Amino acid sequence: MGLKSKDLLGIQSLDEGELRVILDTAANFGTVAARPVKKVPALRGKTVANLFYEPSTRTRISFELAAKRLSADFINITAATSSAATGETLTDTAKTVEAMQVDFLVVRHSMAGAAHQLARQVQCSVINAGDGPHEHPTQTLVDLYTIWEHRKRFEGLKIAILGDHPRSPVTISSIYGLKKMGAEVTLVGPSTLIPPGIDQLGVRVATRLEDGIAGADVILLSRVEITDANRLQIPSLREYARFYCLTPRKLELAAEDALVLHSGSMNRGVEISPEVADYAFPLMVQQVTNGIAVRMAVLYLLAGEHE
Amino acid sequence: MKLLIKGGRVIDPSRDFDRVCDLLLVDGVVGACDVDLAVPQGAEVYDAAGKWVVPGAVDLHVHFSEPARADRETVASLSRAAAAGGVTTAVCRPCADVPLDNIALAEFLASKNRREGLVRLKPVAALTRGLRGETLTDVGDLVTGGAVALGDDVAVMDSQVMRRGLEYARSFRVPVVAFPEDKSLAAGGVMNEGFVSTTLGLKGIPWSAEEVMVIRDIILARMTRWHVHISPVTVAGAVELIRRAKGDGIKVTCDTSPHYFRLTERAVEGYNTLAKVTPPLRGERDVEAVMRGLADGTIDAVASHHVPLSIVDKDVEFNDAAFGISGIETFVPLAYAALVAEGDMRPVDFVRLISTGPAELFGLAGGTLAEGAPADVAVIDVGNAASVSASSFFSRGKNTPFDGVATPGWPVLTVVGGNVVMKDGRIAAPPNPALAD
Repeated sequence: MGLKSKDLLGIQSLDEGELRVILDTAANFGTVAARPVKKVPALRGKTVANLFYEPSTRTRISFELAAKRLSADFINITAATSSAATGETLTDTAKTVEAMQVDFLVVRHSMAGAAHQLARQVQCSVINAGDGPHEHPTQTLVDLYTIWEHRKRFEGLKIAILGDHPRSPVTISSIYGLKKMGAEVTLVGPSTLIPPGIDQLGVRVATRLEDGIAGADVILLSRVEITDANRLQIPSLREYARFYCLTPRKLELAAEDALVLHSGSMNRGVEISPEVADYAFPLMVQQVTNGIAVRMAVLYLLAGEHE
Repeated sequence: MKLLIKGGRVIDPSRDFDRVCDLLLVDGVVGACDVDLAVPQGAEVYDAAGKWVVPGAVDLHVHFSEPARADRETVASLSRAAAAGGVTTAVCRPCADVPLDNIALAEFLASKNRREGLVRLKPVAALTRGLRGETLTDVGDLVTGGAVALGDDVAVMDSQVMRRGLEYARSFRVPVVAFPEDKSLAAGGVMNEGFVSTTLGLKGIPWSAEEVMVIRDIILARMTRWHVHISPVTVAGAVELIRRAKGDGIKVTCDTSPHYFRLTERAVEGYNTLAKVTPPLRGERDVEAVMRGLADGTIDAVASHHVPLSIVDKDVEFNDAAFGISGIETFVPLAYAALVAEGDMRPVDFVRLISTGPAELFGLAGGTLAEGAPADVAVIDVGNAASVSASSFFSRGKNTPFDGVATPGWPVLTVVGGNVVMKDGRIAAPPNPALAD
């Protein structure tokens, strides 16, 4: 069994069976990295192109390594911030890159929907490597993989998600992924950071951190900072930290040995205290390794047959 | 010149008239209207059997972009599109391309239209200079130059400016058009705020952005005792606020457009930039409320809200795409299908919404087939359906989310001042001598 679509644009369009296939396949590729020769010939002769409209070291390198370990040829294309900035439309860019006969286009863009708009224009597989505040499916798959590795189940797991949700690249994907796998999800944050209508996705909302993480088996964190876009939603970082920073004392409210997964680039002292950051750091490093296996699985499965 | 329109169903809301009969147009005005009229010497005859003969559509909300962005729409292309759409009078709103905030721009439109136009194009002049919402334009100058109303087509956020604008407009007897979207609540938004915007990761514009402005402008209309025309109305709460204000005798009127009662925010799914419009497409509840408002007379007019754009404005990331739908060629059939063919609106009430109502609101020519009135007439084919074809638009703006949608109710004849400007889809060559005066 493979994936239904040639593209991976979001978790929204995947079903539970597809998610499990990706996790199982990732587990197999996870063993490749442990070998002396970290390479398999699965995608020999295929070309993977990273098309990044905004900088992202972690995701970019993870896809690059995943492609190379599958023996694919790989190129990096750094584009301007948007098609408006270059005057070249997404369509033109897509057609141009496709003319280079690439098989996979890995797209990172600050604006929601960019990967979807591109995917409509090309025959090759498009992978969304983050479209602004919309979806970042491979990051969520990595989280799911790590949770599975440690807990071997999703059913009934209590998951709390913290962060600047309206701008977080992972909140929506995480909700879709975790709900599809049967976990219970609670979104934590002040009301200004709770996206409108989010309860329709079947998540609980907690405006108090203490309520949100009580008994949580897994806590998902992402970076919180103040920008022009959210200065009316977070009065100050000091204030955010006072009420929402994950400290050792707050963490005690969660289940014993709760997994703390940070999506990267911690703002120590804001969303996570230095102590909890140290506690979470080994898992974050493990996530980087898992990320390569998960992205190998995605590339491998997308290369297969589709409905 | 004489034109006898034979055997159509003549619908004239100004006289509550709805009967199958003949209509004679003579020397630019409406003549006899009766069964089995004899064909006068030298008269052209148009067979309208099975079709509706109505006063031409009066469209209160269109835009052109000449000369700043002629690739979007010129006066000439707008005029052809209007003729194709059964529109005999179109009211041009200010926009960033053509702010219509000084007499030179109003004169430009008038002179262009005399030389290159086919239908009556009238300006709504800006209420504030540069559409900045800070200082009033030379209102009297603009009104004597032909402006039929005042309004920026963006919200005037400063309440004192709006109040003084209303008071000043009152002395020149022209209504003030209010665009109901609070700029601060709408800031950065690209679609309706709610579950759909959340799942698409797009920043929303809440319903409250509209209601806040509607309630403020109702209050200012009451205070200044002057006519505020809210355009367009898209949310349920705004319809209710206006319904109550009218009940209280406050001089407030409003319009809406077919996309606000035929589409919901779900049209945006898949990041369809053609469905990106301001105010944004709303939810099911809002669509139902707008339909009720149209049915009970709370909403006074259906306008096209015609914002013609170039493909380069739309073929970009959703956040960067320009807001707007090209609608002047399709708003009559799209409204007809929703309100009459699939709804239960009386034909005379429908024609009032697209013609008589808006003509009366802004004191415009047309809207009536009374003997002696200007011969501004449209014939609508209600029997046959055809699909919207964006690529065949006469407008330079091909930006419609309705491409391919089949609908009945297409105009087949448009007459302005007695001159045929569109017949069976063919557009006459300008100028239209009736526009010379």
